[in-house]
Amino acid sequence: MNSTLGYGLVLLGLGFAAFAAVVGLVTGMTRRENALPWVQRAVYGFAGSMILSNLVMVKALLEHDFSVKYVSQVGSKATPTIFTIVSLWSALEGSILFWGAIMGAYLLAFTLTYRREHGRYMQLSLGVMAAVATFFAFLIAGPANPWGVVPNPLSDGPGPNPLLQNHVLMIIHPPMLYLGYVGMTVPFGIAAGALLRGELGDAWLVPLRKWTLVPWLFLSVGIILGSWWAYAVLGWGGYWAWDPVENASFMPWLTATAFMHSTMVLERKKSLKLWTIALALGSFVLTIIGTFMTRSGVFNSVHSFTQSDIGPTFLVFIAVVLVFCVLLLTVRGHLLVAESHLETVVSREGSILVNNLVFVALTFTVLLGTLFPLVTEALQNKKISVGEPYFNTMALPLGLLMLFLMGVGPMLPWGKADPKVLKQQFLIPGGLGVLTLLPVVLWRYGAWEPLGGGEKTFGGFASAMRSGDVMAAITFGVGTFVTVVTLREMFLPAQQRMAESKESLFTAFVASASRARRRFGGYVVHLGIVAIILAVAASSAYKVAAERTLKAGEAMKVGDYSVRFDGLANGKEPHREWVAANITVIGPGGEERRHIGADAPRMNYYERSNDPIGSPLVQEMVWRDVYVSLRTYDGKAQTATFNAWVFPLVGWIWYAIPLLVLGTLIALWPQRKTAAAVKAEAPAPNAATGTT
Amino acid sequence: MTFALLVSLLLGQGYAPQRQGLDPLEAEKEARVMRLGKQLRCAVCQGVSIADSPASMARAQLDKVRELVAENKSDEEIYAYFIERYGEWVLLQPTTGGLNSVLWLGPVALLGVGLIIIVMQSKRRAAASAAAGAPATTPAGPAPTSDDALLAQVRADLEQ
Amino acid sequence: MKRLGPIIALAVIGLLIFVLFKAFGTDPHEVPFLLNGKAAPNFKIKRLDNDQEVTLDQFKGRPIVLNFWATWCGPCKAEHPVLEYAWKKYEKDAVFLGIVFEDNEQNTKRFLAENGWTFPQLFDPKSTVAVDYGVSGVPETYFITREGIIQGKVAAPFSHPMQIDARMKGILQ
Repeated sequence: MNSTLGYGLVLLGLGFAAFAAVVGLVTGMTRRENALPWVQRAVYGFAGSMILSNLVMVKALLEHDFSVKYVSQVGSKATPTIFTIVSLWSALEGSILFWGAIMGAYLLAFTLTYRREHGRYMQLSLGVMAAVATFFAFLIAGPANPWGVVPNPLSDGPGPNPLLQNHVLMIIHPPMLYLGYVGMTVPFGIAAGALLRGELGDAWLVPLRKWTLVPWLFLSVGIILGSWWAYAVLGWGGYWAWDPVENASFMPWLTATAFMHSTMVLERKKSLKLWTIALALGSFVLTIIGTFMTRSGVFNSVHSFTQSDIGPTFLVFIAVVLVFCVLLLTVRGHLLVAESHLETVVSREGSILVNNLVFVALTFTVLLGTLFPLVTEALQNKKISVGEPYFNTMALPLGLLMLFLMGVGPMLPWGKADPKVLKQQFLIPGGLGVLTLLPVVLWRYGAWEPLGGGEKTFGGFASAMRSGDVMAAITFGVGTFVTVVTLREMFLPAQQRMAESKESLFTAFVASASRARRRFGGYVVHLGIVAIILAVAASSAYKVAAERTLKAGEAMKVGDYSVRFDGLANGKEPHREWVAANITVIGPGGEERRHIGADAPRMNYYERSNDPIGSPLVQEMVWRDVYVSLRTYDGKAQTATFNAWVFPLVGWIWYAIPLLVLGTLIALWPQRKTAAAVKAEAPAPNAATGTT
Repeated sequence: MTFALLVSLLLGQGYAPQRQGLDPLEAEKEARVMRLGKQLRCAVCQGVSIADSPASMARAQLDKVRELVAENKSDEEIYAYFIERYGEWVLLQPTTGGLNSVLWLGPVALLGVGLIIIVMQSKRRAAASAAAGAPATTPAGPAPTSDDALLAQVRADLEQ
Repeated sequence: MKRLGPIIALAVIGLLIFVLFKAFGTDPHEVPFLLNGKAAPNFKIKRLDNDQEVTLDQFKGRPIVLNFWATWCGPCKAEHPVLEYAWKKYEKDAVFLGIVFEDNEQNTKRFLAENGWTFPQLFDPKSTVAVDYGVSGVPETYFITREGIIQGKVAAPFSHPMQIDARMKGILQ
C-alpha cells in the first residue's frame, strides 16, 4: 500500500517536473509569456507530490512497514521514534527522496514569492530549475528508488547506521546541508534564466542575491553543525578532517561566498556580470559534484553512503550540466557587457576582486586535492592519498589572506582611495592588531598564562614557534585588526547620525543599521567568521593532549585540568548497550565536576556494528573545552585508557552560528518602505538595488 | 551479519577489544612520533592519520613509529618502512615530484595568473584614462581632514 | 583568447568526467599492498596451545599460508572451516599458520575450543606482526613461497576451498 502510493507520487512528481521543464524552456525561448501559469501549476504539482511522497515514507517508517524496501534497510522497532523519523535521510535512497521534498519546497517558495513578478525571466528560470528537479525525480523513480516492495517482509530490521543515532546534532545537521545543497538550484535557475534570456537587469539581481544567501546560510550552519557533530561524536578530538564529503560541502560554500561579494561590484559598478553569473552556476555545479562524491561510492569517507548504482547516472548529469554552463556562458556571455572597469586594485572593488580570486583558488585547491587520488589512479594507476597535511599547508596562507582582506576591504572606498585617509584609517586597527600579537607571544613565552598550557622554557617557545604557533599568533593579530575595522564600520554611521541629528546612541545605531541592512548584516556575518577563524587557530595550535591508562581512583593531568577515573559502569538502552568510564574533571582551582554513566566517556555497542562506537565527554566552557575520550577499558582489572585534550576557544566555532544567522537575516529582511523612500530620495537608476 | 548482543559486555565478546598502545617516549621523541603519525594514513580507517585514529590497529601502527623513533631512525627511513608496505598511499601529504607537482603548483599558478590579470586590468585602465586626460576620481580641492574624509566615505557608502 | 576559453573549459570538463568515470569499479577502501614479491618479514610470537615461540624462519623451504584473523570478525568465523578443510588437503606440502591479532587470548582460546582447530594458531598481542605484513583488515591470507617470498595476499574471506586451491598452485611449485 505505502509502496504503491509513495511510488505513484514520485512518478507524478516526475511528470510534473518534466512538464514544467519542457514548457518553461520552450515557451521561454520563444517568448510566449502566457504559458507561465502552466509552468507555475506544474511546479506546484511537483512540490506537492514530492512532499506527500516523503510524508508517506515517514508514515511507513513509523508503522515499521517492512514491506517497503527502504524501511526494511533502515527501520528497526528498537529505534527511538525520533531516530526512526531521522532515518528518512540516514541512507542513500531515503536521502535522495528527502532531497526531492526539499527541492519541491524551494521551487514552491520561489514560485510563490515571485508569482506576479519578473515575467521576462521566470519561465526560463523555472524551466531550468524544473529540469534539475526532473533529474532528481528520475533518480528517485529509477536508480535510487526507496519504494521497492519486499516480497516476504521480515518482522524487524537492522535500524539506521549507529553513528547517526549517537547524537542529537544528527537530527538537524543533514537537513541543514541538504537545504544548502538543494537551494543552490534556485540561483542556478535564476542565473541560467538570465543567460538564456541574454540580459541581466538590476531587478533580477535581487532574487539572485537573496536566493543565494538562503542556501548559503543553510550550508554554513550545516557545515558548522557537521563539524560539531564530528567533534562531539567521533571521539578523536577533531572537527574537520578535509574528508571528501566535508570538502564537498565546503566548495559550494566558498564559491557562494565569493558570489555574495562579487555581486556587490556588479550592482555598484555594473561590471563582473559574467563572472558573478559564473560563480552562481559554479556553486550549483559544485553541489552536484559534492552529491556525487557523497553518493557514488567512488570516494572513501566516513560520511559517504555505501556503494550504489546512481554514480553513472549522476556522472552523466554532471557532464550535461557542465557542458550546458560552458555553452551558455560562451554563446550568451557577450550579451552581459560590463559598464565600467577596474581603476585600481587599492579600492573596494579591487579588494573584492582579490577576495574572489582567493576564494576561487581555495575552491580549486580543495577540488584538486579531493580529486587528485582519482587522477593519479586513472592516469598512472597509482594510489596516493591527499590528506589533512596537504590541505592545511595550502589553505592556511589562503585563509589568512582572506581574513586580512576582510579587514582591508571595508576600509577601502569604491573607485579610488586617498592614500592619506587610508593611512589614517589603518592606524588604529593595524596598531591594535600588532598589540594583540604581544600577549599571545608573551603567553607562549610563559610570562603570562591566562588560558593555561603555555610552555615555560626557551626551548618550548622555540618549538612552539616552529609548530605553527606563529601562524596562530599572526591570525590573532589580523583577527583583531579585522574586528576593529568591522566594529568601526558598524558604529561610524551611528556616530555620524548622533553628531548630525543629536540622536541617542541606540536610536542612531538602529536607524543607521536598518538603513543599510545588507551592509550591516554582512558585517555581523564577518564578526562570526572572525570568531570561527580565531577559534580554529587557537584550538589547533594551543591544544594540550594527554593519554594514560588509569586504575580507579587515579588521575591524569591535561593542561591545567586533571581527570580522575572513578570506575566503570554499564547500561542498556533499547537500541544499544554501553560501558562508561565514570570520571571527575578537576579544574585549575580544584573545582570538581563529576561525569557519571551516560554523561561519561563511553563505548556504545550496537547490534549493527562490530566495533564499539565511542562517545567522548565534552565539558564545554566558554573559553575552553575539556574533551575526554575512552580509548579502551579492562573490565577485570578495572582500568581504562583515556585520551584527554584541552581545546582553547573551540566552542566559538559553534557559538558563531547565531551571528551568521542574525547577520544573514538582517541582510535578507525586506526593506519595503525604506526602499521606496530611497527611490524617491535618489532617482539614480541603480539606487534601489544598492541598499535593499 | 547481525550479532545478538552478548550478555557480558565487560569482557568485550563479539566486539573488537580495544588495545592500549605503548607508553609514550620522552617528550621530544614523542613529539616526533606524533608529527610523523600525522603524516601517515591509517590502514584500516577512512582517510585518517594514525595519530588521529581511535582504531586499535592505528595504535599498533603508531607503536611501530614509536619503535622506529626509539631506534633513532630518520624520518625518511620511517616513511620508507610504511611506503614499502602500502606505497605512496600511506603518505597523507603527497610527494612533490612528477604529476604531483600539478597538485602543489596548480593552485599557486591559478593565484598568480589571477593576480596578473587583475593588475593588468587596472594598469590598462589607468593608462587609458591617463591618455584620455580623464580627471582623477577624487575631486581636487582643499584636502579634507582624515576624519571628515572617513565619514564622507561611509556616508557615500550608505547613500548609494 | 576568446575562442580558446570554451575549448579549454570543455577539455577540463572532459578530463574531469574521464577521471570520475575511470573511478567506477575501483574500490575506494582498497589499501594498496606492495610487499608482493618481497621477502616475508620474519616474526617471533608464541603458539596459543603450548606457548612455544614460533618464527617464520623455522619453516624455510616449505610453502606457507598465513591467515590473519580475529574472533570478533564474522567473516573470519565463516572462513574458519574452509581453512581447516584446505589444511587437511595440503597438510603434507605446506605449512598453515593462523595469526590472531586485535583480540585477546581468552576469546581466541574459547573460540578455538568450540570450533575445533588443527594447524598452529599464533597470537600477535600488539599487532606488530600484522603491521609488519601491511595488513589492512581482517581476515587476510598471505601466500609465501619456499624461498620465503610473499606471493600475493587475499584480503577477503574464503568462502570455498577452490579459491585456496588456485592460490596454492602458485606456491607449491
